Amino acid sequence: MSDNIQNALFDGLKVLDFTWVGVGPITTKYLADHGADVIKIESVSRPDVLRGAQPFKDGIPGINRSQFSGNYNSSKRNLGLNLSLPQSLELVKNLIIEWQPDVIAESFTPRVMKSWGLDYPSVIKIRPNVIYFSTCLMGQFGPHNNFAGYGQLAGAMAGFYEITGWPDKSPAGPYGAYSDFLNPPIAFGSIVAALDYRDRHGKGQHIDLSQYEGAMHFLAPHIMKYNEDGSILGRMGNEDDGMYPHGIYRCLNQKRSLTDTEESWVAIAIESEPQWLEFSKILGLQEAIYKQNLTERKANKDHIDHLITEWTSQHESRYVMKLLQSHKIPSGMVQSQSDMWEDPHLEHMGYFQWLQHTEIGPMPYDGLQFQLSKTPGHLSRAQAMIGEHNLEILEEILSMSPSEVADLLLEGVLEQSF
Amino acid sequence: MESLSLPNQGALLPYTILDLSEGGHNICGRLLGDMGARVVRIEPPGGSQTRLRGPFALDSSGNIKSLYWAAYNSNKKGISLSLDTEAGRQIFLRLVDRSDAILESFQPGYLDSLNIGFATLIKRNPQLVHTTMTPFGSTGPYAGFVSTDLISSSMGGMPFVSGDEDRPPVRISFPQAELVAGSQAFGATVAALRHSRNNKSGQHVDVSEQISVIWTLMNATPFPKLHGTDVTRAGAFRKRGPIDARHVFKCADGYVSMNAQARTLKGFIEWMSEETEIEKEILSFNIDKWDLKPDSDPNGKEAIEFKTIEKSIEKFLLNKTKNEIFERALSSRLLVAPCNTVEDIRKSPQLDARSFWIDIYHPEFGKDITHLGPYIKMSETPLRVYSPSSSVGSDNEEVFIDFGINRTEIDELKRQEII
Repeated sequence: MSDNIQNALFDGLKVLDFTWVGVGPITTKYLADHGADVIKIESVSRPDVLRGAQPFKDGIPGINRSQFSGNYNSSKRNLGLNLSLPQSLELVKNLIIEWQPDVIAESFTPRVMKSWGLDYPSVIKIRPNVIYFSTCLMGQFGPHNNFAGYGQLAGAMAGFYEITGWPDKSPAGPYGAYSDFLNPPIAFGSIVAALDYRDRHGKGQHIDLSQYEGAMHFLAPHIMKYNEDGSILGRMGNEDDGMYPHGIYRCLNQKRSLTDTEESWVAIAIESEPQWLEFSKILGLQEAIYKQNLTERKANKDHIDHLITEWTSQHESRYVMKLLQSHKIPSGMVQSQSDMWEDPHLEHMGYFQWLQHTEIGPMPYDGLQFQLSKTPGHLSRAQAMIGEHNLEILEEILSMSPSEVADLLLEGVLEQSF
Repeated sequence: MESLSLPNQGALLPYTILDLSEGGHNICGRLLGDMGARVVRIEPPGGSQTRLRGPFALDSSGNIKSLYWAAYNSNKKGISLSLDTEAGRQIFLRLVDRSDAILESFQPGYLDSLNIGFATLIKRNPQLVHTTMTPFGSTGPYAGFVSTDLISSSMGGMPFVSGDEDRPPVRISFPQAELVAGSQAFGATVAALRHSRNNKSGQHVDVSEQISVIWTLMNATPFPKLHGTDVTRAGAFRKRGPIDARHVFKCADGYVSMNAQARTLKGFIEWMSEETEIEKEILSFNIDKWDLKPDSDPNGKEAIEFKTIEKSIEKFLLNKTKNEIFERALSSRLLVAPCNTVEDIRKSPQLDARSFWIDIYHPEFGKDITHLGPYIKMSETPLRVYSPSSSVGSDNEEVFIDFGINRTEIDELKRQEII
């Protein structure tokens, strides 16, 4: 295969990246991990807020130590600029004029880039036909366009909180800022589609991603159902309309090597009657039970769940998974993060990776989201420190001398977090 | 509703895609179709199994039809073709000759066993992008595992961190694993299409549901290696330093979600002071100076202050509606938002202002069906949602003729029940 490998997908593509937090940085990361030159602009006075969030190297906080932001900013260069100063904005504009980036990305509420004179209509005067990508929670226009927040809130608004958890309890939410992970692949595809269009027609454009709208497409059938008959999907625990048994069952507690987690669970989903009979045989269920059809089984759920748990709780989750899989019954470990670090399948895929950070050394990274056989992606560097590439970038693009760069650092136009 | 007579200027207009995928993987072709790609949905002559997937709605004659199918197969042409017969496979290969990409979600090895796997296809059409979406990817120890949403989600780590502490882990009640894989496949397929166009070289795109789910775990995965801990489920709470901070609050007509940051807490104190008699001590808290770290004392002054404010917000919100709370969030820039139901979503003025809902007459339902509009807005190449999902084989004639299969051949295929 290796002689077949071609140049990276986005070799030579230039991206000027003003984004921060989740959706924006993850979107530009796709481009960076596939060969684009992504220059992230960030300031020490107002850094990407995720730099302040855990997990940290050795568990110790620090502006260069967060792997929350690290994970979303691999393969990028960093230019430290204090954008509240007029000189900094001048510098950015010169950079755009000289470098002529193919893509400019930003993820502020709609007023911010405008206040800097860097909104789409202003930028195309100095960089015609750029692909200008904007994303915010609610989209560039509309009565709620300036509502700012995190993906936790967009996830709640897009309906995911109401449908995660138990019907008799308050919503639990999917863990984290869920919509922040639904939107980037859509945004990435759209930016590349816009590049493709520009390859053919020479025209750039402005892309407006409302994270609220993007996330809703992952719930589309139920929103359409409400339109049709007014029914509202609620929290169902682990129940499924068309399958039973369908649940997460307790297994024997298990020591993990990386953490002190002990609780252990297995997921089982019986899709068909043959699977149910096979499963009943493995558990040694009595005829009165294994002869029950789906409706009867659902009515007898408490009892059957009890019998299943009696069996699963005597075994380790990996054992249950492998045994059931050998009978072609859908089952899987309910993996903790430490389980995933030791998952032989993910190991085979080479999913987790270690990258060398300039200051803090080796850091653990999530790997690529998809595998391309001829133009595989590659995490080319760990997250850069703020301003790590100030000199390199300004020498290369604006032909500045080291002393000019040093002066700008003294004046506070340039910044660095080291 | 957009006029059907507008010229289609979608960014992906030149591309032809064959979509053989099932279930949530169908979102990939839908996303491509919205951008103008010509997407041909290939079903077996008996119909796709995705048509059996709920939620359902009644058509004008009272029969149930899948809204799942309708949601993720609009903007596609529909043909039927049996890959179980040699003649059907020969037709498939002729379609591949004139296509830019295929999307499929068969068990790894299945297409190879029919001699129409990647190795065969790329030989016939060296510029072809072949995208596979499977629970665990095409190779590796678990590649042959049977899976459902619950299994792929569990192996991808989402249930372990979701749900209440005193109950088993939970999945999201609407299946997500196939959809997140389908959206990753969309991005990757567009990238591979552009590469193929510019370099005359196709390739295989391999997407795994498990990995797609892992990527939704936010900051969790590095914890074992950096902190020696696993993130665990905590229901309506999130860790904030040493304390469990509430992120879901009950209100008069449902729930809201909040990031209890200093500015938002202060905003709430201001709001509460306007309307109620709040405890005087709360006004004396120096919220900006709080420094709640994981190793701070859970019974220390700051932790107690936090819990005191949280309690009074809890009480205050019980008498406020989701709408009232969101209005205040908008005007005072608070980090709080409603946990919307699908009903709330349908009533959102923001979505109305952005023309998000698109009614299209759907022949299978015999009436207009409201579809979700474009997932992104592009100024030069606006996306369009213009065509409802097809019936089994409803576009056979048009598509086969387009692909150079003549009428005599079509009649023969029909006679043999291959289409």
